[in-house]
Amino acid sequence: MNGGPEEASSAVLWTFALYMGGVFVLAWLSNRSAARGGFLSDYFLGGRGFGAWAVALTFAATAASGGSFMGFPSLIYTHGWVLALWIAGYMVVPLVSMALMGKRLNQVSRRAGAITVPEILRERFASRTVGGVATFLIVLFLFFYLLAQFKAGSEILNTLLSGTPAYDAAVAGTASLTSGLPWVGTAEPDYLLCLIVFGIAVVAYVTYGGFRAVVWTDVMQGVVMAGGLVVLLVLTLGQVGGLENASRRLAEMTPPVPGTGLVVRSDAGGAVEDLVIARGEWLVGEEDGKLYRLAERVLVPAGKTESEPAEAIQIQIAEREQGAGPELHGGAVAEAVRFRLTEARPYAQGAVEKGAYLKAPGPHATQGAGFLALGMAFSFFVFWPFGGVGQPSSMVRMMIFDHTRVLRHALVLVTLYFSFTYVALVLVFVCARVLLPGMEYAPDRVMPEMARYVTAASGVPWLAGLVVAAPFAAVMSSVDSFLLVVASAVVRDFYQRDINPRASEKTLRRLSHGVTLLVGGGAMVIAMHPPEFLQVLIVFASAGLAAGFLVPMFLCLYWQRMTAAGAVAGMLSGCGMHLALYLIGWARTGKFQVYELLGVQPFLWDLVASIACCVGVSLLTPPPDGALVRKYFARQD
Amino acid sequence: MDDSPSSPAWKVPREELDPLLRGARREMLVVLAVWALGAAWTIGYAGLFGYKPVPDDPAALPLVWGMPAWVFWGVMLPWGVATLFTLWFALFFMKDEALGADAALEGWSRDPELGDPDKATKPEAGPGA
Repeated sequence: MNGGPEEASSAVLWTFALYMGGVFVLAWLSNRSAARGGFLSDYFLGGRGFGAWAVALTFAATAASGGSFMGFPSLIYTHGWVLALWIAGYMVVPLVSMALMGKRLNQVSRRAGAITVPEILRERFASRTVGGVATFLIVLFLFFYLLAQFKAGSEILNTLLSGTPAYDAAVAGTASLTSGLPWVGTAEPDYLLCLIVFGIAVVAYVTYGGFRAVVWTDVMQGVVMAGGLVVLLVLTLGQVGGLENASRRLAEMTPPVPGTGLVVRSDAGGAVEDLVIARGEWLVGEEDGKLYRLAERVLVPAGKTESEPAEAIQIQIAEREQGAGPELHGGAVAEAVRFRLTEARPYAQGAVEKGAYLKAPGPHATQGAGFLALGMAFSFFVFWPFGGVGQPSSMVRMMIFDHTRVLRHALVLVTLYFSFTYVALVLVFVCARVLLPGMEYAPDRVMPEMARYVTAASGVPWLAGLVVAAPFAAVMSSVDSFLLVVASAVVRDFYQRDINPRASEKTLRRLSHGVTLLVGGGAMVIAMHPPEFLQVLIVFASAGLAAGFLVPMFLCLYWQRMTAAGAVAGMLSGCGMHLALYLIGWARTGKFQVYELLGVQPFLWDLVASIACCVGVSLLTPPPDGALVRKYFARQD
Repeated sequence: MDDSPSSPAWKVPREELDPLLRGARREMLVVLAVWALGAAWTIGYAGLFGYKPVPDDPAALPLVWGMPAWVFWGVMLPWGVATLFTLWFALFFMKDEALGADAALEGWSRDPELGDPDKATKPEAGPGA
């Protein structure tokens, strides 16, 4: 960290406190504002009375999760300009996700009296089975998703706050309080502290304020995300001397060489003490004189001259080799030790190729075809818009307005918001490679490191707080919506419809609060020791859910001949195909990894299966009831 | 989407279709067409020019506004066009239409087999349209 780390750290802490304060004030205000309609309609849908700004920002903030602000930057950093092609489908995401079926979805939900996604399907086909399958799929998939986002939120918070003195003290306190407790005590104390803070905050404001609190906090989170990104973009372009300069310097770079080796003492005689070298330290190669960055913490024990084998990244910086190079981010080269490379593993694609970061398919450490083959580029152009519109949480957002004017204006705002956000992210993190070489040792840290680096280097370290609040806001605004979708599925679609249709308002109120608390609390406790494969589960759950819901929902809105059996077939085959491709991948590689049939994303195959089964089964079963079709398709005079 | 010549009994005839549905269907077709054009432009251009090696001579580096030329012509330009189109679509093409009464608020009569949650919570609400 170059200059002002204390100022930046305390700024992060202050911004975070301010931000959390804002979230709770908004939740409190939401709870106090007048309710429209019955309790459930208000708690899970906010009574459908939102304006364009609220609809736009809750839509955008829910769609942008932790991945957009942490995972995406690290991908841009690692693979270069090709990420512009990877994300290009976002040029039509607002149009597709709001105009493909938004208006009609809202109308049908009104005619059905539906406040959840399973309820629309259930009423549209007058079928308990359809509603039941939809509820089951949503609860199952979204709970995994929720778990994964709780973990992501805590990790982001940990990354953002680590190094702050007050935070370190709180971690030590947590460790001493929880040690010895079953389940809780065995979690890493820093992760545990963040999980507790993050979890309790989200569960509390969602339970207390319901959907209206979710929307209003989303609005604030959306503003924080955009504000942080504006600051980051301006400072980054200033630091790097303009985009053209960045691209020219990037063209000179070749991918680093990951490898294994030993850390050895420079003076073999003076080995009287343990020597600990932190992760991320810079070392000079013993024989080749090249620069290495340690990818793990290394101990050279007293009495020994070398460490156990350790992972490191060999940096290829042309200017550095000529002795001029950029200043090393993260400190000076460690003098007491050298690095002895024993095994080099050059990139499978793009190794020693100048300009690899400027072209497709982009360098890749292990895939010979590179980061993005053309078939995959097309797959993502399908996946971003259609995977987005298929998410139940974004479908719910098409049900919360009272007039189509709100939808049109929200579409304008979301379009401007997404175009700015995603293009700005690409520009900033293409430049990050030039400013912060060697971040491959911890790619997930690229975003917070950039925030701290550019604000400190530009003499405004206190702004770091605003910038690093952005990814946290992104996770929080997704988690709150998913939590409510799961709770509404349990209370409305399961309890009220199947168990106790005559439940009183008071019972429903208690139950909604109770279920939200229970689902959120349960996810938090399980997330203390998250299952392995969690990152894969995020991708699995979000794509699987979209695969199951997109086609049945789309066709039920526009196709009169569709039947209940067709809807069930469409949902099960979409999700089933998704599961099958993962199982085939498991059988082939022994890992929970998807099988990419013909080199395209599984989502495409899911859609094909879902369309075929939905249409095929509908045509094979008897036509739907005429009165039901009239209710949803005929003009109501 | 289903326009067989002799209309079956369950089907709502074209002239009785809901006006919002007809408008929404028209807009849906435009959206799908724009997606297809965007995909053809971006994937087509990037496929032709994005996968070529970068020239060794830094002076010959093809850049437009600081980005690789293929990114500009194949991603950023269609992105800009798609954005302008979406603004036009939202402000001038999409029609405003009445969304209709909200049965969740007004307590529509429902199939008793499915359970009628709103009856229980709002006994005073009568059938509305």
